[in-house]
Formats: sequence, structure tokens, C-alpha cells
Amino acid sequence: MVEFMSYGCEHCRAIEPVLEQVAKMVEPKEGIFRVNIAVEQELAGSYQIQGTPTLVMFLNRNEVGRVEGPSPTVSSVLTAVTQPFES
Amino acid sequence: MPEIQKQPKPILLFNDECAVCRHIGHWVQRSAQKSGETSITVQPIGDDPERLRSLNPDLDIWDAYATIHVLMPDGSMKLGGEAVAEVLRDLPNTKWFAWSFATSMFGFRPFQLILNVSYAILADVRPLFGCESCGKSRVLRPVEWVTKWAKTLFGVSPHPSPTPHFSSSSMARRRPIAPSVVPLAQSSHS
Repeated sequence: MVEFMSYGCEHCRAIEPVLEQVAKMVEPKEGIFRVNIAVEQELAGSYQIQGTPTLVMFLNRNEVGRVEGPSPTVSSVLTAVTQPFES
Repeated sequence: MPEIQKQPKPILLFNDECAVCRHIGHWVQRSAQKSGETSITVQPIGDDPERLRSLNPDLDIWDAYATIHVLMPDGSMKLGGEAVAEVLRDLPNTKWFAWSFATSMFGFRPFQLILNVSYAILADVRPLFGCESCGKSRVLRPVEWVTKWAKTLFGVSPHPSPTPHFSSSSMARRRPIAPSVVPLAQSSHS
């Protein structure tokens, strides 16, 4: 799972500790990575990132799901991160 | 634990992802160099939390983006309006009036209070002047439309819209599975 974020984004800040918690829960099955859209503008553009935070789930290099601005709670982020892989 | 760098001069950290902050940062840099000897160091915040902690272990990158920080040589930090007052005290062309911010009347500092409020307003309206990392406040949108309209009247091209930041769970949206095959980014970092 890749989180497209920015340090100037308050919601990204709120979701940060939740993501760290979820990362521990889903490893080693899933890895969570972070992309700073201010630094990686081209990359954010190529994935058509409309805002931050956006969580994009990949399986075998294919995008299998995407959630924009999830609620900063463990349950919602965990669902967002795991659900695309269950279907 | 990163090694703490000793700095002989105050350091102003500015948000280099924000056009208005960048302009102010560069203005401070130019003003500080006018006297020949630079009185304050100006640095972009950047995107490396560890590098920032090497300047001051209490410095948090999220805080640095949220409000202006000046790192003092004694290891303390000044934030917001206090940081602005410190910058003005350090610049040769503004230090003549910066004494006023320390002036106390009946237990409070009126000029500092005005500066704090002014800073808070400027920080809030940054997206109007171009701030790539600030997102777009819903409250500011009507003001933004008026600003854009006024700019077009004077032939000024508006700044490109910054990427919005999703701010509440009600805005959470799910998208269908993308049909295209896309390579996973190598440049992402955990």
C-alpha cells in the first residue's frame, strides 16, 4: 500500500500514527510506503492523485484499490488497506 | 539519534512548498545579506525528518510545516508571531522598529499580540497566494474566487490550484479497481 501524502496536510498528520499501527498489524503480508507528493510531483501526477492523503493498494504491481481521505481510525484504515486484497 | 549541529546564528525554517513562504524566505535571505555579515540563516524545511532533528531534537517536521520556526543558537525555538519578531530583530533594515514587539504594557505586549494575530491570518490565507503543500480550505473558496476574478481583471494569471487535502471521513471515497497496469514506484520511501 502506498500513501500519497504531504507534510503540509493536517489530515495526513492525523492519519500518520494510525497508519503506523495498521502497518504493524498487516506486516509481513502487506508493506506500507509513503510518497511525499510535494517531492514526487511527477509520480503523483502519473497516478492521478487528486488530494492527500490518498491510499493506493497494489498487488503484483497492479492497482487494486484506492481510498481518498480515510477517517483517521484504525478500523477504517485497516478496512481500506485489507479489503481490496480480499475480493 | 542524529548528531545535533551547533549553529552560531538563528535559523529560519521556511516551507519551500509554499509560494508565499518561499518569497518571504528569500526576502529574509536577501535582507540578512545586505549588511555584509549574515545575521540569520534561512533554510527550507525539506522532507527529511531526521535532518531536522539534527538541528534540534525537539523539532517535528509536521510542526515545522504547520507554523514558522526560528531555531535559536541556545537550543530554544521560537514559533509563529514570536519567530517573526525574532527575524525582524535580526534583519538590519527592520531591527529599528522590532524593539516594539518586546514592549510590555500592563503585563502584556500589544505589538507582539498584533503580530501574532497578523501571522495567524497570513498563515490561514496562504493557499490564496499559492501554497503547494497547504491544500485548499473550504472556508476560503469564496474569497479565492473573488481574488481570481480580481486578478483576471488586472491581467494576472492565477497560481495553479494546489492539491486539495481531504479533511474528513465524510469525504472518504472509494474508486473502482483501475484497469491499467502501473508499475509500483521505486522512489517511494517508508
